[in-house]
Amino acid sequence: MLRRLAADHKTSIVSAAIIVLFVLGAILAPVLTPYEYDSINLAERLAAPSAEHLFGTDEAGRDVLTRMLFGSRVSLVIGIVPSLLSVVVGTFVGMVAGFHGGKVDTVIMRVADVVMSFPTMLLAMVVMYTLGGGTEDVFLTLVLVGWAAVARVVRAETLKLKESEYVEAARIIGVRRARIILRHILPNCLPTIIVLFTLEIPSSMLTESSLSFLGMGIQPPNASWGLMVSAGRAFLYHAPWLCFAPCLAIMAIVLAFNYLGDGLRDVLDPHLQSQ
Amino acid sequence: MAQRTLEVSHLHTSFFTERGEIKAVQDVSMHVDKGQVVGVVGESGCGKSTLGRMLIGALPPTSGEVRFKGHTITGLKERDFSAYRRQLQLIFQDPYASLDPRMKVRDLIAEPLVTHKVCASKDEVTQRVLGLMKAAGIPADYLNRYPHQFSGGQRQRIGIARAIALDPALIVCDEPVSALDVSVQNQILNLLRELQEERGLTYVFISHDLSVVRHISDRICVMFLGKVMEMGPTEDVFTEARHPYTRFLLDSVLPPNPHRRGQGMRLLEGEPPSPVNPPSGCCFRTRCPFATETCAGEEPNLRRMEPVEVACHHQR
Repeated sequence: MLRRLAADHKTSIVSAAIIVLFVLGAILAPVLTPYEYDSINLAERLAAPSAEHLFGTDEAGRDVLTRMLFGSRVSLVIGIVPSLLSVVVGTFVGMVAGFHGGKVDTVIMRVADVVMSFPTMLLAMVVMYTLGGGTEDVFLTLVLVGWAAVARVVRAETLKLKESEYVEAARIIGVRRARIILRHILPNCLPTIIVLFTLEIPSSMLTESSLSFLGMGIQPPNASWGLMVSAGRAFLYHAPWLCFAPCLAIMAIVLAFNYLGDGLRDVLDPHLQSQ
Repeated sequence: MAQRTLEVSHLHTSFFTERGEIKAVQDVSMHVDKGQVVGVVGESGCGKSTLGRMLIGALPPTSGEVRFKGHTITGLKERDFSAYRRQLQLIFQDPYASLDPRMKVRDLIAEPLVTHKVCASKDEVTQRVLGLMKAAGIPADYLNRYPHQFSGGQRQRIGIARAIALDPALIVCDEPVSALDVSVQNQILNLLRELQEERGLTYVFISHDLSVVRHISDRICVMFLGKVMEMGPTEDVFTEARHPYTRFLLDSVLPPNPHRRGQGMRLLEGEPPSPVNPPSGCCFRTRCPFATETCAGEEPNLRRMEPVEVACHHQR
């Protein structure tokens, strides 16, 4: 599978490389930089990018690159963990709704409609205000907002697959319901689910960044890309690197996940494998 | 007397659509004896496949009864029915849609064996799968391939291997060759026939192709608009068709000699009537050249006329 990804999808490979680079950067952050993310050095306030400070320093003289490396930990974890949870919850709920049908389906999908009819940011802000500003609360918020879209797509897919002839064939053989869901419906939903997952990651990251930008996500002095953009906004004219560096990082990783999702979808389709 | 594998009496099924009730199958009574092949023929939409699904208990009839080896299997709860599930299998028409694209041949053929826990170990499953592949004419080195790597004929062989895996008492073949190339049709028919002879299988063979049905069936049942028009031993029906519809069907088969085509052939005109709004009396009367007032007024019942059964007012 990886070999095929390499052969046909150069964009995916580049994307995967970018993601790996970011992950390595996050893990090795303390080793990669001589500075602390919260060590203040007022003598070097708002220094332009130089050999010592590759991306310059911020208004408190903290190294921007260091803060970005540490901030990527927050962004990656917030990108991946809630997305995974949303996809797992959404898939389960969507499959139950689609396969079971009837009242169960109606109740689940109406709840999903209610969740989806709220503007995402507004709902996220309400939850964050109510719960406070910890990382776990951001997780919870993102899952509360994210599961509904996944459930809707997975339900539609399940409804389609439920009527397919090979599911009927499995039924005639006598395969039990749980096994049909697990062995026939889930594997055939998987390409969709993986794409949803890779698309959910950047949207979680963006939501987190937006929340932090608005001061409702990660709290200072912890670093987060959204928070850094928010703080740098004040110095946009005389120290643009404060905003641009985290912005570019957000853009790069969001694009990387999107392209990887695209490539994975192609590779995971068994019909394309033979061609 | 031969052993009755399956007997159905007065089966009805209706589907409810926006346009009204569609009576897909009406008052079908028939039986299948052990080791026999019963052919079911008719035009598209005449209820053949619906009947097939009911025979194996995959679709509940609106009314009527299906008895398998003397036991009533209609209206059973899922748990009670599961004992019969492995005895009644189906071969699908479309070998492309009926195989899970994400499963390997090994897993597809093993699915019935694993589901009904007939094997003690994984090795035994593999051995049985290889045996079934051999029986169905699939080379053993295709074990780990996916369905999309096969041609239609080979896929149908996989479907057949799945259907025979549990040694069922009855297999309903739902147009098993009509999706295949003509050159492959014969191979699959011969395979089905060989398997039937070797394993003493019992088939209900659904098809719209009379020559295919004649090739394989002991008895045939001609359906039109959800009703049985004529039923009896294959040769009797073919050589001496009594129902006008059967005669039309037989005439519509092209003779192999092109110079004889068009001679003495009567082709049926028009479309079959709408099943939502069927004609009064005999449902075939709108297309029947012999129709009289009696046909419009009274619905003909299936009457025994040794050696066959016919539903027509003009056959007495």
